Amino acid sequence: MRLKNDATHFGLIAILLHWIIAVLIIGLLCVGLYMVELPISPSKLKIYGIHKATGLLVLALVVVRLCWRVINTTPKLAMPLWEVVIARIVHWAFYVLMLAMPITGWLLTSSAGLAPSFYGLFTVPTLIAPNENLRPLFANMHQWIAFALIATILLHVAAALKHHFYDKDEILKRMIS
Amino acid sequence: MKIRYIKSWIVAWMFLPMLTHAAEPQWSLVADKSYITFTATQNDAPVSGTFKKFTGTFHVNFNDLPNSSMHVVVDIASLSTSYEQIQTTLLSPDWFDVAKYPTAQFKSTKFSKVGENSYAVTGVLTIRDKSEPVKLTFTAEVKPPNNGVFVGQTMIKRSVFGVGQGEWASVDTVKDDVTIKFKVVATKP
Repeated sequence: MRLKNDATHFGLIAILLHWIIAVLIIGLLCVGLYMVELPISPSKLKIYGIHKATGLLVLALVVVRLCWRVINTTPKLAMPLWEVVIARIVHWAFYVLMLAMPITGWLLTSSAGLAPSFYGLFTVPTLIAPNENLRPLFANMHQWIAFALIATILLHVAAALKHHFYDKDEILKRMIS
Repeated sequence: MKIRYIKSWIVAWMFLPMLTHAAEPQWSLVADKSYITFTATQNDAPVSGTFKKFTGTFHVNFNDLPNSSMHVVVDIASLSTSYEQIQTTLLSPDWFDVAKYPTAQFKSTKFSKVGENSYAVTGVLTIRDKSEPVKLTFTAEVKPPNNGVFVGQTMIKRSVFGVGQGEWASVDTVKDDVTIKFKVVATKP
């Protein structure tokens, strides 16, 4: 298997980035929805700590992925134009949401005055000074971007399944091998 | 001659209590320029807070350390943190339990000089219902005639004072070591 993409196929790097980020994001969304409801406790703090570190990991991976996408060929979509347009809109919406999600999270923890630790390896600096007025705004943004991301994931998964089972084309398969 | 001798003895005895009680000049705190902050570690990352109100008596003479003393009373309810939920949690019964223990105190027992303009003061720190010996180190910058800036710190273990009860007693998520820093700005009359 090739590392780089070509006109018809994804390379190993694009495929790995896709699936690693997908698993991490779905995990973060589930944990995020669960953890906000918990009463304050040491385990809640622990879950928040892992959530923050993993969110920052995703941010780093998304930046790498975006660079890879820009410098690399993107395989063509062999489908009607309206589907290509919608697919590309969804793909670029993903990039916007995948960046906005960790950045608003980072701003949220910064406004609370809590510098996150990257899995205990080092402390990540805060982006802004503690600010109790801005904190609820970032909390709302983080939540609504999460809902938008969930909707986009559902759309993306539905489209992939439609191509695989209804159109019976190679769209889903080429993201696997 | 003899009468004068007796008189001077009487005068001397009158003033003796002042000498032995070491009425060192008292510094008065400039409250709005002074602060006490603490930094703990949660999830391997720092979390800080400030006690905005504290009072104290500082009978300190840097040329007469053996007779110097200080007593600081911290208003626990004046605790302020960057995030309101940390504040309410820390004031709750499991942590400082402000309802039951509204103040923390530090009473000095001994001052000593450790370097040029730097000093150490040992004393007893009381938080909640626990009193334990603590040593503070600080630097003193005294600007003539009577303005002093004292900046220092100490490290304590929160478990020693029972700050963090029940599940919070575990020092896994919130570490045991807490750094306390202070800046005291004071003037002498």
